[in-house]
Amino acid sequence: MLSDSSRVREVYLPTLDPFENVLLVLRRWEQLIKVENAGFAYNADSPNPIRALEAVSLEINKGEFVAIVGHNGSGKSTLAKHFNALLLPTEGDVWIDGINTKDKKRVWDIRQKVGMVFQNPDNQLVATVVEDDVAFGPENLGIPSEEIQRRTEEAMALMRLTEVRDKAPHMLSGGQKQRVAIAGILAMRSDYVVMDEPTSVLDPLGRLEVMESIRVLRREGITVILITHFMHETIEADQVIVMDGGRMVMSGSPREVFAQVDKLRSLSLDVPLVTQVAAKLAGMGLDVPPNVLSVEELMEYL
Amino acid sequence: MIIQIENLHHTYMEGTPFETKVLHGVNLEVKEGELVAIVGPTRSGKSTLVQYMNALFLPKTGRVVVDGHDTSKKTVDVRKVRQTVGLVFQYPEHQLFQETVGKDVAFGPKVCGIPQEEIDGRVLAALDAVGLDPKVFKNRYIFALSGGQKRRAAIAGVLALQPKVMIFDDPTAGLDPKGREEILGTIRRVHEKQGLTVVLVSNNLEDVARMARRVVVLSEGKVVLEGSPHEVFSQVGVMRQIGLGLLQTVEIMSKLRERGFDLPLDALDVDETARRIFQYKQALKGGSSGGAI
Repeated sequence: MLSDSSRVREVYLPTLDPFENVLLVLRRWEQLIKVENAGFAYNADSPNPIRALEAVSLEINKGEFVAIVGHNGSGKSTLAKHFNALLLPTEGDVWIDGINTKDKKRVWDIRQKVGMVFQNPDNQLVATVVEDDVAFGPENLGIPSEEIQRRTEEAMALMRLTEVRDKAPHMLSGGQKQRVAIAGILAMRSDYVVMDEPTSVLDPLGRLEVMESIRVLRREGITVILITHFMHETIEADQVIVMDGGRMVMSGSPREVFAQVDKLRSLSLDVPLVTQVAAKLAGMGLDVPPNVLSVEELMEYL
Repeated sequence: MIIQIENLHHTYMEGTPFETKVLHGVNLEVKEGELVAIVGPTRSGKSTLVQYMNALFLPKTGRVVVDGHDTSKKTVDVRKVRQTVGLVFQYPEHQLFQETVGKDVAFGPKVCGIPQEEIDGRVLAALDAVGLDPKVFKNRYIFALSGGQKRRAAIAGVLALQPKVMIFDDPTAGLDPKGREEILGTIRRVHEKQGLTVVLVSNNLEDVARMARRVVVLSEGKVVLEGSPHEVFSQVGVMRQIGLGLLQTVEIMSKLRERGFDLPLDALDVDETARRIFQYKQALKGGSSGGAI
């Protein structure tokens, strides 16, 4: 069976059936994140383990933009930390491009493939000037310095940081700091970017800057996984995943998910504001569908 | 007037190459018993300004008078000012350090030399005020609390000092909608039931629109707008120009206006937005049928 994780380590063993061997080699080329029946408990070895994930299975394809929502304690951040082997599932498996995150020898490959942006930008900047911070990741990969220079320039240009390259990160706005963090990941040539509530401490403009950065990442073909509790940030996503009590309780396109207003409310989540306005207008008797997702769309019906 | 700020200037790292002017002549009054919000983009000087309100900074240029205490005078008793004005910092739960909720809330009054019997009463009242049932939470371990509960426990610690003014610096940052509701409910209770003056500093315009009667907008160390939420948030040009962005509902209204819908901008919530659009549609219908006749 292809999905039998215990076999993958046997891929180099000559005793394996040749056909199966080919399949397993192919699987290593799969370009996607695959979560198979993953469960996780904090303090798993203690007498009082705290369950945080229950039987989560999902696939995130290359180039997709996936939003994960859920209230605090729903397991969304725990799930996010599984995508770059910060946490390993206590049951089931997580695969990044065919690499099992439990494979200790490959953990740095995984971290190079999957970059992380955290909630508080002050906790993730390391250097004294912007340019050095962006270059920090590739420098640790042992890449030749001309190549580092090229990547740093490119990443700063994409994140519109060239003008502030000589500034100290703590002198920047929150939105700029998050862009520095993202530029660092771009310079690493990561294929996936996981953002754990990247906008929740930013001002409205900072939030827009992060959302614009996500569009840039997508244009570059990079997979974006956004953990958020701001519903309007998920509107452009290909897939919205709703977590509750460690389980994946809903998933689908934003339109499919936000059509289920009552279910979302019961999970103490909201639908985007435009959708709420549209639903109100429909309730007042105007001819507006209740699952409108943008102002542009709303306008067509007015 | 419980807090009066006149022509306040502040410069960070004065005399070094990193010298940055943060406040440029701020004039601001906080009236006793009001709930006023201060908004502004990152680095507009909000957090610096509130630190003048409880004498963490003392003015070099300008004047700050808190409940009759002029903090620009050398003779000012800063402890009096800090007892009058309680400041709840960003992420106040990071400052919880005792084992249990009750001990943590009692810590401030104890340091201030309040007798034990009175401290007990204050702890109960403060926990009550933030919506943490003392029977359930007084002896609970800090680590067994949720994010929103921790933050409310930290707020209770400030309330137990019985200030007249509570300042909340970005109190809902990083919380989910449920945690946010809990904190906003707490702030509303403190304001309405206990009659405290509240200064709410926030980046979340939605929170401000719901909570405040008066909004002060800071940009680059100056007050650039001041008024009711309806007045302030409909100043789309200024709000965009200073980089603060718009209230989501105002954003909807302004996009509709740009496409030729003659709508007012000042809709602060979903109901108001829907009502304005509905009325506009009705008027349009009425108008066109009138024209046909």
